[in-house]
Amino acid sequence: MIDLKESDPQFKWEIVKKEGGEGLLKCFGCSDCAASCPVRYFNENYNPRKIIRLTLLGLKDRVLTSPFLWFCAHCHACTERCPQGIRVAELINAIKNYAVDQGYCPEGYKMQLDLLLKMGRLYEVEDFDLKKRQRLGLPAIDKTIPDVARILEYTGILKVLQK
Amino acid sequence: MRVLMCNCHNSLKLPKLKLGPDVKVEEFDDLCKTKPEIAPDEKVVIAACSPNLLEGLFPGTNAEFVNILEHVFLIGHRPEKAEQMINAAVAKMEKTRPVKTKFFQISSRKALVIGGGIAGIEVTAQLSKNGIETTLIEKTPFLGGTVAKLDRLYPEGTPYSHTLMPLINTMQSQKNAVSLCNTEITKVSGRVGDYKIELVTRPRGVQECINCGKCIDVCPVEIDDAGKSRKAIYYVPTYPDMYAIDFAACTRCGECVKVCPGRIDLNEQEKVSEIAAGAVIVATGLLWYDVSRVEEYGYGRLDGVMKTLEFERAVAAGTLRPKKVAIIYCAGSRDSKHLPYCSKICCLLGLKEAKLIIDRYPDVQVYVAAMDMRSYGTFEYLYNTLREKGVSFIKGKPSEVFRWNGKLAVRTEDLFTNELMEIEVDNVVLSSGFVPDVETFSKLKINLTVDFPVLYENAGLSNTELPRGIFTAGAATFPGGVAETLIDARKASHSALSLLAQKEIETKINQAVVDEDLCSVCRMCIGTCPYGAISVVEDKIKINEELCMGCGICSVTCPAYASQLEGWNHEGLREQIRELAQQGDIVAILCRWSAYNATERAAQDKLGYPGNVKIIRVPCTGAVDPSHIMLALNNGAKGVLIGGCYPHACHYARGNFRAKAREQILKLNLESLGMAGNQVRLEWIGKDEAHKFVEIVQEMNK
Amino acid sequence: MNRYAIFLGCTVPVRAQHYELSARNVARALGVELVDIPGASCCGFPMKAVDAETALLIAARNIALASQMDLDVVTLCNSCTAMLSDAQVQLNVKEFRSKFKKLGMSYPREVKVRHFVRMLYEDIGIENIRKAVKKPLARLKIMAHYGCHYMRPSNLYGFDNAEMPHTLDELVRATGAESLEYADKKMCCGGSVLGIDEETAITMANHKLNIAHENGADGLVSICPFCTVMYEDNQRKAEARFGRHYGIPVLYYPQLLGLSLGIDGNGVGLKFNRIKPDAILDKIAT
Ligand SMILES: Cc1cc2nc3c(=O)[nH]c(=O)nc-3n(C[C@H](O)[C@H](O)[C@H](O)COP(=O)(O)OP(=O)(O)OC[C@H]3O[C@@H](n4cnc5c(N)ncnc54)[C@H](O)[C@@H]3O)c2cc1C
Repeated sequence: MIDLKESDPQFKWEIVKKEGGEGLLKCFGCSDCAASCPVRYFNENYNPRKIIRLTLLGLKDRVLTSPFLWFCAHCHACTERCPQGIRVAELINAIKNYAVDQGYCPEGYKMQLDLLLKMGRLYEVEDFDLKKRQRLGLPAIDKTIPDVARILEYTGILKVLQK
Repeated sequence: MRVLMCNCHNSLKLPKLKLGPDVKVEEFDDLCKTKPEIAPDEKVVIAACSPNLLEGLFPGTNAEFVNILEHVFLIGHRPEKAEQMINAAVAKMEKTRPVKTKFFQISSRKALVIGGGIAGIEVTAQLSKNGIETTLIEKTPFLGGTVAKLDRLYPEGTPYSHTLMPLINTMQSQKNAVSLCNTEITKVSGRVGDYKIELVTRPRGVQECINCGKCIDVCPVEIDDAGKSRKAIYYVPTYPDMYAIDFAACTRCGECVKVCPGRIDLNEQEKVSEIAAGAVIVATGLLWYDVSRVEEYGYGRLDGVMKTLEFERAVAAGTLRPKKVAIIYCAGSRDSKHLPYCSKICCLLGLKEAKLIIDRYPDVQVYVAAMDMRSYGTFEYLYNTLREKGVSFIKGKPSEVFRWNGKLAVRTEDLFTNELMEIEVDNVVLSSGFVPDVETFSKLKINLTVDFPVLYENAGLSNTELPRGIFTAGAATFPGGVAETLIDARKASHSALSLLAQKEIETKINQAVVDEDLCSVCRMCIGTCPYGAISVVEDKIKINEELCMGCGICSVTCPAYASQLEGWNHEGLREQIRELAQQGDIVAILCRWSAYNATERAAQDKLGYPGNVKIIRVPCTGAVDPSHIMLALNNGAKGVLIGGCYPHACHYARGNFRAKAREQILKLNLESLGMAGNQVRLEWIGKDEAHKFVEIVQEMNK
Repeated sequence: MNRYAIFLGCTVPVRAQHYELSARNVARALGVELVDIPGASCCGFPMKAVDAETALLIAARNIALASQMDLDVVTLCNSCTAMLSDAQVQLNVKEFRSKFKKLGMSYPREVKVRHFVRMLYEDIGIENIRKAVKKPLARLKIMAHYGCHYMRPSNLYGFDNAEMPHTLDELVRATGAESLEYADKKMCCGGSVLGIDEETAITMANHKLNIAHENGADGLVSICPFCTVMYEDNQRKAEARFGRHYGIPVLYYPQLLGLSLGIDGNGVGLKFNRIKPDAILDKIAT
């Protein structure tokens, strides 16, 4: 049962303020997003409409701790269809960002962040790769791009790794 | 000049005014009840409560209203502010041109009705019954409109003819009624009470006809007419009682001519004629949104996907016998990519088609997929009946219609169970919405800047501020069922009758006036007028009295200040600002239709704001000249707020867009003069948005 | 001659060299010059779910580098295209721009960001490609897979048709191959869910593999390394999970195009395809 005593009335306003979250309040619950969603098509535990609904109701803990929040493939099928012009995938992404900010970051993302911090790219470029590229006549690439670490420091996102 | 002050049953402590000898001050206990005489050409300042109320109580007076109740006393500002506001109003009035009374002769007592559906037919019957010579024009070869295409009419479920034929009959029996089919308007000139309309009547081809139907047998061209097939020569059993050729489809092979015992002329020419009318009634009816643009539903791409009308006709013709049908609601409606509004009747059309097919074939399985069901009035009973008949209602907006291994299917979420669902069906019926008849309205010089409903005020169709003598009836006003359409038609008839019963009508709307000495005929004003009211006549700019709604946009566009608005001319406004704006003030120049109302509500709801906020009421933000803003700032004001209607709610169609464009230019100018651009703010503030107004002025005061 | 800066991203240069190789060789054959961007990093997309602003700044840096080279950008990966395009929009927003500047970066001129395949469609054109084809791939039945971020969100790209995409089909047909019409063409490969829930991701990938199988497709054409991971690298898993046998080769579009332009198997890196496209080669040869 939904217990509105747990509701945080500020939650929806905080999401609205975030980039991508601006359309949240327009939702009138038609469920076109859910019906368009390829992830939901194969796993009915995921439902974008439900995430939006719980957010509107202020059920912050339920939204932020839900493992299904992270199931969104960001494919934008919903964005195309939403009759209210909500950028649904961006909205879900805004909620994900909010969750990270509140200390709920899936381990996989932390690993990726760590890789970006060290190398500026997701896959390590080993000597073997460079040799292979050379053999194929492909140009050499940088093993690391330190500028990325500067950006990560600037935005403060590295705090995610400390938690 | 007189200043009339009201102490509101001695509840207000009115200021002692120190005005010149030629200004007389009178005090009243209850101005709204006393209603003192004011001569038509007399200038007065009325210091009391809301101008929105007083304007109605003192119609047609040359008055400047000062709202001392809501802008001073109720809000707890000091009485000196009231005095200052009154002084400013007096200063304004001294420089203000009085509003001229405009007279329009009703020279023609005839009426033109455009559109021969049930609305047009009913209006024609009503008017002609009351002695008005009425011409009804219909662009297709037959009367009856949409209803004549239907099978049955619900909620009753009676054949369409039982409703339509008596209406046609009543109209036909009136000697004052003339109906012309195949006819449209081409040019319109004149004004209320005196329109000249050019008509073109396109060839019918069939000239003498005994209804034998031999032509149909020989015609080789078969086309689809909204779900039913017919020949290029055809008959609709309404009126006139003769066949007609659809020349868009006809190949002119001549077979029909050979077998016809009457007379068919394939080379008939168009006829142009002109008629006079004192009033015009637009009854052009239902116009579909192009639902093929809702690509995910596959109309025009997937076989078996059809519109409600096509479905109804195909079922009636017996050419469609589905076992399973899905009806999709809001196909392209309430959708920011398509029609942002609700067309009201599509929900009932969907219910109707479900009932129609179930009544005929009780074994059909019908699924209705609707995100919402808006079955107003008696249609709720139809909704109830259908559930009992076993129709499955699915709550949710389908995401797409697709073909899978040759089968047509609808994919949707069922919000009752929270589960995804794919419904395999033989046919998908799209219940889509309707759009206003922009083309006809624009021929009548009515600029529809918003979608449905056709907003009377914005379009200048209210016939109250400025009578245009143009009325709408039936679905041209807003989509409705037959019953509503007929009621609306009767209302329109009676409005037209009351207009035509007068010899002359008068109005005291403020309009723009051009000072010929200042005007260089640069024509810049012409394009900015939302009503097309400005033209060049004999090398001079002319404001057409019958069209000008008094927004004042032209007066700001004019580089020479030659065009000025009665009651709000620049000199007057400048005087008012000069008197009102003091060091450190916030000058709020507010639209009378929106933001100004919000300030009154702020007082009524006891929302305080500082006393240095000085309010000036203007007809439209589009009438705010940058020089007014500069004047306020030069006078020491620390900020200027311009408050107007939300983008699509402008009373004058697009004044607020003009204001927006000017604001940007003004900000750049201010910045280049070393002033802060953010001293000037343009905000959309709705009538009821007192909180927003208060927040903005408080922010500006910081 | 058309010149573009080529943005490779993370996956392509290390894990999908055959995609890169074929794209470069196809470009050369069509008279397009691809210039590498020194210092280019990850596009930023992996960080979007964590912090959109961080992702956007990383992306903005990459297009800024291209802007400094005075070249428009082409990409090989759908997600890179989306991320860089997002950043390009943001670079017109005052607040974002000022953060970007604070990091000491500069963006001297607005650059276009497009997928390599879109560039082929728009700048080279179907007609010219058709003319350049030396070995029409007649008899091949191909299923084109667009992936999500090639045409969605439509308000970002304004390209192709988000409901009924057609440009890749046209490009496939230009090679002489047949491009199958099939249901659920816009279905996502599941790649983004792989790290979160493998079961769901594999089920998603299986859906299209199954359609390809049922339609008798000779191969699937992909334009994104993520999609290829799902359809090619994970095909075995899908087969095991659903007890099917597919064996459907997955080619990158430039590989297919390259073959039709007369580039040999090595030139389009066919030996790196995990599922060997031997059947395709046989069909082409005969
Ligand atoms: C599929 C469908 C089923 C419906 N079923 C029901 C029902 O069961 N019960 C019910 O109550 N209502 C029903 N309605 C609604 C009903 O049709 C309308 O209430 C009714 O048609 C409105 O009448 P009207 O005269 O305003 O417009 P219309 O019937 O649309 O007539 C407008 C007429 O104007 C003509 N016209 C248009 N433009 C011009 C022009 N420029 N110049 C000259 N002539 C012009 C048109 O040709 C047409 O003849 C249904 C509607 C549809 C579409």
